[in-house]
Amino acid sequence: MYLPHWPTDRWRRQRSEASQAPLVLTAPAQGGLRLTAVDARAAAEGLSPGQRLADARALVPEIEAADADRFADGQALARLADWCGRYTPWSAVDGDDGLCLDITGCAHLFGGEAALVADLIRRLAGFGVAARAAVADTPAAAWAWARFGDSMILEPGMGLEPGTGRDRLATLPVEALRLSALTVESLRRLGLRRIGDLAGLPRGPLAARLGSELLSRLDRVFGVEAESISPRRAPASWRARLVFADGIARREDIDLATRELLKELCRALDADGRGARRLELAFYRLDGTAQILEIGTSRPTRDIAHLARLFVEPLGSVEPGFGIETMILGAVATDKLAARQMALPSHQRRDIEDLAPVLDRLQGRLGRNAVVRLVPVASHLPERAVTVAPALNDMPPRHWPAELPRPVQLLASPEPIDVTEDEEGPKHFRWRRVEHRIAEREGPERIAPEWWRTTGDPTTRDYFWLQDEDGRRYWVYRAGPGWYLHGLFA
Amino acid sequence: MSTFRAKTLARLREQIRTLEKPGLSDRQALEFGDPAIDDELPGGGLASGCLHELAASAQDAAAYGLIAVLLGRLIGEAGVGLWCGLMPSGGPALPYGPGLARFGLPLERLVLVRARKPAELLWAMEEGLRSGRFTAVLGDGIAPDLTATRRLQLAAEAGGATALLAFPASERRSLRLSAATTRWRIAACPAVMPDRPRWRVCLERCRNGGRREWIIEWSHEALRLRVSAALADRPLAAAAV
Repeated sequence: MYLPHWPTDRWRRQRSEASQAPLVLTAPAQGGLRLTAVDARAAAEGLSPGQRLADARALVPEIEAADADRFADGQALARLADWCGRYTPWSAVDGDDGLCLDITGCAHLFGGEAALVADLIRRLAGFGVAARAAVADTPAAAWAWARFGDSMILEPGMGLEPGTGRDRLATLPVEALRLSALTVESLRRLGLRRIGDLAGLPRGPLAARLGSELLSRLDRVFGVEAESISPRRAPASWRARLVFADGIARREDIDLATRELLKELCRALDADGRGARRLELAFYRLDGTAQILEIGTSRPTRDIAHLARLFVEPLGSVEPGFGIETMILGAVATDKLAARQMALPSHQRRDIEDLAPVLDRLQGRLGRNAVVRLVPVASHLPERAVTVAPALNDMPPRHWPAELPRPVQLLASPEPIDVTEDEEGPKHFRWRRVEHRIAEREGPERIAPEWWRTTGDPTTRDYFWLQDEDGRRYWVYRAGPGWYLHGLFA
Repeated sequence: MSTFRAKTLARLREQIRTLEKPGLSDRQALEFGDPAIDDELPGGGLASGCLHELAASAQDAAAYGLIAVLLGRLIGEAGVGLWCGLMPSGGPALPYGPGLARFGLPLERLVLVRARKPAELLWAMEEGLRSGRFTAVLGDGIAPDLTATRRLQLAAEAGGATALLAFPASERRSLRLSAATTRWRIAACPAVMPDRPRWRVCLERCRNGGRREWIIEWSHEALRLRVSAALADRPLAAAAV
């Protein structure tokens, strides 16, 4: 799809005032302001990008000029690509002025390829965006036809079999191959103006004279070399879609529609023995923008009520604008999920399944990393002996070494303390500006550094259990000449 | 107190309890495992399906021993516990698994939630309590107001779970209003050996019960609590904090 006047169309759309003057966008360049984009009316007057603004004004005094914003143009184009997700999940931005949609297998939803393209162009025209679209068997051919073809649409359904599409493509100028200006110039000098002129030539000399880019482009147009579209968002394998004739805006309607979509999607997942891990709910608004919500679950699930609950909070952020015309729910990530989960042998497993709904709610609000479990790690170093794991990961009861004295609180990092010691060990110490007289002590327990690790503290630590006169219990250690407090006992 | 008066009082308390909350009297209670404590508590232990507060002395971690014991008992063989703490922001310390496990806390059946704000922590507690999936829910580090404690109490009743609130003790907090069924105050107490930590435990407030104070000893080998001394009813603050 080619958007010949995208920057000016976008500019006009942003400012809703309907000025009829030819519009040009300018940016500073060598020799003053130069045109970067012209709208249809300005183009009809003979203006083209690259001209100096002063020259343009001399030719067409009534033009309106504004500053170009390439960055915003790109952003808006990306948003438009997202919006095209209403037609197909495979939508991508193509250069500065184009979009590329893979409508394989999607066209029937809109009544065929021709109807889809007509609908797309009509809607874009409604947004004030001029577009030329072409449907072809390869992205390169579609690109070529959208920009250089004579009719709006390369006959839909017409493939590139020899004798039909191939011949028509051969009539296009060589620029349609998307070559660099230099290559085009060389070709013109050789008298090769049309794609057809190139097709019959021997490949070896062609590559030798003009580089391999030319051959690769040629192959792409004719489908010999595959070209893939990288969609802006990973397309979902399981999707459900609802279209509203007039657009909906009320929260109740959106909730209802979400439920319908979930029902449909869960049916499809059920049939394939999958459960959703991540869902994307996309809203396509009447004004041509899209909003996408995402939820995640901790275990694969097809529980409609559960998934609906997870959507409750995010749905609050939906801005329907003038109305939502299409909603598409896609399962972006799924896992195997057997048809029935009831006959699980282990009790514990059942409990964990039961926990999934409440844990998902907690994770939904507090974040994925905020709901965890403690897991022991086989390490002598106290600070490495425990780690956190996602709360719902399968976790058999693990052995926590219970024989050794370990504190119930471990300081985030050991704090240096002033210790007075006698022959047997520490006598009293000062921690956080408070003096503690030691009444009981036990130790030392020697903990050697893990020699196989190259990072971290390489000194050996001697740990002591200390109890002060008030009965408070501390875990301190000596490393080299210094003393540190590392934890508090209960 | 004469035996007659004691009996009358006990009977009256029992009547009040049945009037107050139908079904509460036949609710289960978590035994501490030593009659010296359990007999003093209405219902014979820590009432489940209720909110309990534990005020910890701010300078030590003694309370976390008792908390781990209680949580472990509440989780039991088949339950799951929820520990809601605040995200450590340079704060004193994190709950440390290897130490907590020694108090019989089954960490593989404990879910840890780290909230950014007290409001989130309260929300998480309520969510956990109401879900009915957890047998015990601990809120670590907050002392919410009366309304919030009422909500927690109601959520605990609704989900049949026991709620615990742990926070550093302070004068202001011990005077604040709360809907909790009991409030405990826990401070360190000198132990004879590392494997037998002792705590000074004061039952500061108890619905349908009086103020009591004990010195409780935990044994890491036997995994049980034992009262080593029942103390006279006197303020804890002067003695230990």
